[in-house]
Amino acid sequence: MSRGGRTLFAGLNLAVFPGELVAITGPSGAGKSTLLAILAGFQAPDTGSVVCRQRLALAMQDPGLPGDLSLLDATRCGALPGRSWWASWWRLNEADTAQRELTALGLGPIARRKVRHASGGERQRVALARLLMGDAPVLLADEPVANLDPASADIAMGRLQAAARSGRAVAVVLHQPELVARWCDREVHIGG
Amino acid sequence: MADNAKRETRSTEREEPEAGTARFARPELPSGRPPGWPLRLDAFGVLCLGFAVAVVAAWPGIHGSGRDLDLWTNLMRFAGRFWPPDLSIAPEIASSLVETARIAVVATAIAALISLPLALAATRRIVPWWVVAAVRLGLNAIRTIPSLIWALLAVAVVGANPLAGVIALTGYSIGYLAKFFSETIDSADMASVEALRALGCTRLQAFRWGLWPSVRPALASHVLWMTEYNLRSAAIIGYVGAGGIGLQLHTYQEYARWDRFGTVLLAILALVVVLDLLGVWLRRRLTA
Repeated sequence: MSRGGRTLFAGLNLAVFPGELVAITGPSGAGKSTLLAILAGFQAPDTGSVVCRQRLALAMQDPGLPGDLSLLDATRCGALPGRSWWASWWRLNEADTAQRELTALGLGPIARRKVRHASGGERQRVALARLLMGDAPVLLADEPVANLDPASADIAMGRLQAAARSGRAVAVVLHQPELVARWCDREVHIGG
Repeated sequence: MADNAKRETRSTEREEPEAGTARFARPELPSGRPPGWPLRLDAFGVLCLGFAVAVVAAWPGIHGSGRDLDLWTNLMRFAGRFWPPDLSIAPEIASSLVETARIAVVATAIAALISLPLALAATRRIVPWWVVAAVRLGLNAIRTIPSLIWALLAVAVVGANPLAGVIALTGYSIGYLAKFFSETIDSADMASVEALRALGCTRLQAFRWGLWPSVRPALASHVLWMTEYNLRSAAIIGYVGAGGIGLQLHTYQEYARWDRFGTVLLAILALVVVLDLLGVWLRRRLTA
């Protein structure tokens, strides 16, 4: 894969299996986010192909949460995929599951707060909770703990590992070697 | 890797400024001279200069009747007829104000409902360019017609009554609301939509739960502004028979009852002030 005449990565052969948590590491600009975009089908590789045998969900670097929703409702949006448009037009479901996810990530007491009043770290945890809310068998997350303090990052990684242990295939972009060593089953390093 | 090495080499070769030289010196022309004043003007400066030139050019075309009038005495005599305001007409003013408010609120509500789909059809991010161009042309055509002309047309079709006022202000408001709505959607941060699409949501779900909550406060604010605007407009369109308090204004002006005319103006001012305060409060609630 190349961008602006520069080769980001070549000859990459990556497989993520159900039940494992894979860390994708590498220096900034190495193409980690591009790799996730290719895996998610948002971007086509220059050569080669991506085979995804299951439905996947990607949490991007930018949490992308509408300011006018509550943290709870923003999380409940994770349960939208797979629902018909008429069932999801007027109301969101899965309030209990969303509340549980937020509580697990330390946001239970502020679940009714509007997104616009949440900090960067709180938004990032909501984005992670939203990702975990869905039932996609393959989960991808781009730097899901970049804005979190060490304790919150550990909790978030624990939730991702739990998702993997429940039989989902999980790949996350990480910059923290200690988190990779503590939580991930495998590391794929790109960019030299 | 080789590319990285080349880049690093280039970055170390970059010339550092010598000690003692200004780091952000004023840009110089190739000749080495500092730029003259026209090149130092920023956009605001150019705008001010343009206005000054336009005013100087327009001034010779502005003139009075040519008669030798004592303008100040005339003004004071005319203004004196407004005082004291005749408060005996308060009951009929109140009922006309209610009718004016009804016309403005109903027209704005109908216009907002029609404007939303039109705004989506005028948004580059959602529909092809030729649809956007056609819808925007239509909206421009609507905005070209002033509210008073809309009222004249409506009165010609449905007669002199409040319904004509509603039709007139609805037509007029659609041109503005659809434009405001489409510009709001066009300038909205699409990260929330992309994030939901990345999770596997459909385009409709991403619109409903990503884009809509992002733009909803701004759209509501536009509707509030339009309601305030339509209240003022509803006071004018009565001049041509389209209902509301404008009819009173017209009558008192015809009979030169300036004391009553002034009372009506004060009532409109009070209504607008109240609505303005209400709007401030509502906008604060919308973004709380």
